[in-house]
Amino acid sequence: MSRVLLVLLLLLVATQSYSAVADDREAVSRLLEKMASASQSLNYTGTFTFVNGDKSWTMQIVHGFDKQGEREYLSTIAGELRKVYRDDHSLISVIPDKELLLVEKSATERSAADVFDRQFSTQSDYYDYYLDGVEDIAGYTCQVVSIVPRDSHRFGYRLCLEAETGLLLKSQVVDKAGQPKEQLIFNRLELPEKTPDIHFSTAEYDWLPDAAGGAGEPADNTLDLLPRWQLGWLPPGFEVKQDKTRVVAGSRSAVRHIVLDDGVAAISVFIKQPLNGERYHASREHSGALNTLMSIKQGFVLAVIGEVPDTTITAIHAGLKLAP
Amino acid sequence: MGNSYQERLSAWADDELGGFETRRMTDEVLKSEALRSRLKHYQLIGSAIRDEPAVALDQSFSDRVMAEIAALPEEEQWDLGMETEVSATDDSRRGVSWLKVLAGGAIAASVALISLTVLKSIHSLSGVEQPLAPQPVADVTDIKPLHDNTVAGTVASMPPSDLAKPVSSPSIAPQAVKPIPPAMQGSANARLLGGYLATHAEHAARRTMLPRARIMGFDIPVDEEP
Repeated sequence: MSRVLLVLLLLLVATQSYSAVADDREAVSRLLEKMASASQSLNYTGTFTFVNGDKSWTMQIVHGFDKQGEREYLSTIAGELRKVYRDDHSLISVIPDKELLLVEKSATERSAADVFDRQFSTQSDYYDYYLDGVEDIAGYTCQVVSIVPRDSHRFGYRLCLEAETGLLLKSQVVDKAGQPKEQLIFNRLELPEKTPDIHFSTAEYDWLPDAAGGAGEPADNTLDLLPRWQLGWLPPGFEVKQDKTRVVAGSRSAVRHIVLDDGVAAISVFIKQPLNGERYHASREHSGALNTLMSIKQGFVLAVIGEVPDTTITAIHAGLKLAP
Repeated sequence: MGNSYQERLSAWADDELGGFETRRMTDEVLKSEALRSRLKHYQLIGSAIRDEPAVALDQSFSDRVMAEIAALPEEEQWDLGMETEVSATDDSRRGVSWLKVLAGGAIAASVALISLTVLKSIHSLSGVEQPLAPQPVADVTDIKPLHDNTVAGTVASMPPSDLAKPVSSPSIAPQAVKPIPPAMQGSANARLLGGYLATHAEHAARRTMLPRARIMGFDIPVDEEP
């Protein structure tokens, strides 16, 4: 009899434990959905500090959503001035200290499915999801959500989402050992009914000459050869979400862009055949959670970029093969 | 005070200037009370960062940053000409007080100068430009996959025609890209990496994670054109 009771007790505990995990995943899912909606459809402005490694930046963000669509202006508020303007039709990155001005028109058009695909998923078997208490950030109460990776191919996340709207107030990207790779925290956040158009003016860049003829013609065989590159290895849980040929700011020839996604993290693979006279070199960079690896292989420039560990980037890169 | 001057001042504070520059900046600091005042702000902000354990940015951190911003005298601030007034949402629960949005600036240099620590995280595999002749990059390709996980049913097994859409897609029309003035083109590698980072942020990364902040915080190496 006592053995039966013990078994029943164990079953009860196991059921409750499972329910607790399932409840967290459901609750986390609802919060993440709210976050995705809020980040796109709310008007907000504020300052936040972004820390990656030894560096930190305090930035200002102005985000608007109205009949003109979704618009965003992001700027360092001091020091090395850097700015990003973005609306539904253009993306302008201004990085004067690197002598870089990147302009893409119509680059930001995307389908609703694309946006949906880029929300956090709680369906992945490669993460655990937990509610982790509440914090007070920038005068708001936020719910902490922990997304914990089950292997070392990806990073974990600790997000704090404003309780009412779901806006992200704080985030930490951590490695498997729990060490932060990158952190972001809002110092001030306001939710105005409207954000004035003046914030989103890009008139100062209107003088740029129009683009026709600016982009070089790709070599005749470029478009034939790009699709022949294959991924030899993917981290478990990652799938190909997109595979498109794009025109990318900074490249005069077409670039094949493959997006890999595990429901939480994303990786981009870029493949390009340079034009005659273009010269590139191999490089490996990392900044906070973002790792990049670029090399020259069989006459192509191959690059892998993503918010995943360097070992994951390296392994994907090593698996790239040109089919005969 | 221009950015480059602020950077030199910060570099001086971090003992990163050469001998002549150090002596010249030391003279200027000794002569100028304003510079000494600014340095004090830098140190305060730096302390706010450095005292913070790596694992915990919290409300007290934010309070310190905002206090430093608020404490800066007006003459040490710059304005990018986008100052505007915005009405508040009526949200007394949060105590939100919308007085002013200083869109682009009006906040002092010291906040970002906390970031002028050494860029230890950036390095190149090779500092030498490579010609585009086919050649393997040994230190990249020699790395073994973490485990065998051959892609099945996705890219590897798809016919080439399914892998990439035609370049003539309206959303990626070549004429949509504006040429950049030579003075703002950077090196070929910097241009390409910058474009890739922007494209990744726009088309791949989770939008809710403010991916464009990563573009701004990414230090693209500046290479010399060959």
